[in-house]
Amino acid sequence: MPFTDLPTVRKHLVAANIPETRVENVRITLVGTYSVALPHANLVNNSEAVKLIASDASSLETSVQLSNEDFTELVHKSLVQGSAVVAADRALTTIFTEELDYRTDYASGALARVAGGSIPNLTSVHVWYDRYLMYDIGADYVMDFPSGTIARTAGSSIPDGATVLVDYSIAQGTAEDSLIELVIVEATDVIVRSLRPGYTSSSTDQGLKTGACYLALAYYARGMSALMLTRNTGTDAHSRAKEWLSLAKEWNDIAWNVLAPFVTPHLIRAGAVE
Amino acid sequence: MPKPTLGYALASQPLMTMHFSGAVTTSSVHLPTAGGVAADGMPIPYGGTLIKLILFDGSTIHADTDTIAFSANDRLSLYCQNVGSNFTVKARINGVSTTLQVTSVPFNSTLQATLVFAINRV
Repeated sequence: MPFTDLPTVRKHLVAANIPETRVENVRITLVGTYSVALPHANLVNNSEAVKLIASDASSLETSVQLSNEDFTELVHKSLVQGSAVVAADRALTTIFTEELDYRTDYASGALARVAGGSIPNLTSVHVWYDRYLMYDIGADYVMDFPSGTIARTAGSSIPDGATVLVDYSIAQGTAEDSLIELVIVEATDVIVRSLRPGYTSSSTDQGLKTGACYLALAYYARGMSALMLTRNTGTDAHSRAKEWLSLAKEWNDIAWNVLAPFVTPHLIRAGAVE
Repeated sequence: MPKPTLGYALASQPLMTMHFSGAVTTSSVHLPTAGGVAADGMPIPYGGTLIKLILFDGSTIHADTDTIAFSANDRLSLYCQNVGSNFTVKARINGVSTTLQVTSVPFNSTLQATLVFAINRV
């Protein structure tokens, strides 16, 4: 019988979990219908956007009327972040400044003047911006969110061999139940084989439970470190792996300190090696 | 940091200059442009925006700014209009005066002027 269980270990992992993270503009080349791994796995379902820059030429909208501080919709949505340029006229004799004179909602494709800025109320402005072509899941591509892979479909609008930009969210937390269950078995095994006479796998001392929990956490963190290096091909893989490894060492030390009264020293060393 | 879109917008609206010069008396006349022809317009193959007129009368610089759109194939000219004791020199589109103009230009002077405009490259 294990000294700890999945819910207990999960509770401890809450503090170590990574919050949901948005990743944008990952460049992925899609060839044929072959599956390509994204830099991250464990993605939030339907959090993705797959896109291409619509044109090398910026879009121009003339005579966009700005009223009060209300957002005025532009013709297109899904604008390229930071690309909007607003001028009083087409010849750009007066160029306005974002955030001081106007604000842009890039996702919705909308523009608003800022109160106290240089754009007079009820004025028409000229707007240049870049925009994305957005692709549809199912019709143009398929995604496996848990494993973080993407592939073109056979009838995709995405040109074969094109390098697209992919946005997605990495799911909050990385506590995978299967890994937790595995490390509980491993930690229990190591502890049981190190127990002093008088203690057995059925012992219910709190120290054993606490020690087992920290040892399971240490093994889990070690597993996560390896996972970061194998599944996370992003630029943060190395630093994340190091953080997990550092946690693993810390939890391992705590575990064996707590377990000290219950185990024999030479068996601890043997157990630690395993 | 300048936005790439701004670079694109500026590049798609290049500034052009058109030069005029001639000796005037007191009569209202078009100021001659390239080739010395004094008429009501040199055609421009792109649409654009008149933005500046600057004129030198031999001793004084006169200047005005505005934003006046014109269409592809419109004709641009400068017209010296007698307003009593001097000229008002007006930028014209297809022979029609615009609000881009300079005042108090003396009679009987030699004028050199530059009309500045942006063309809609795209």
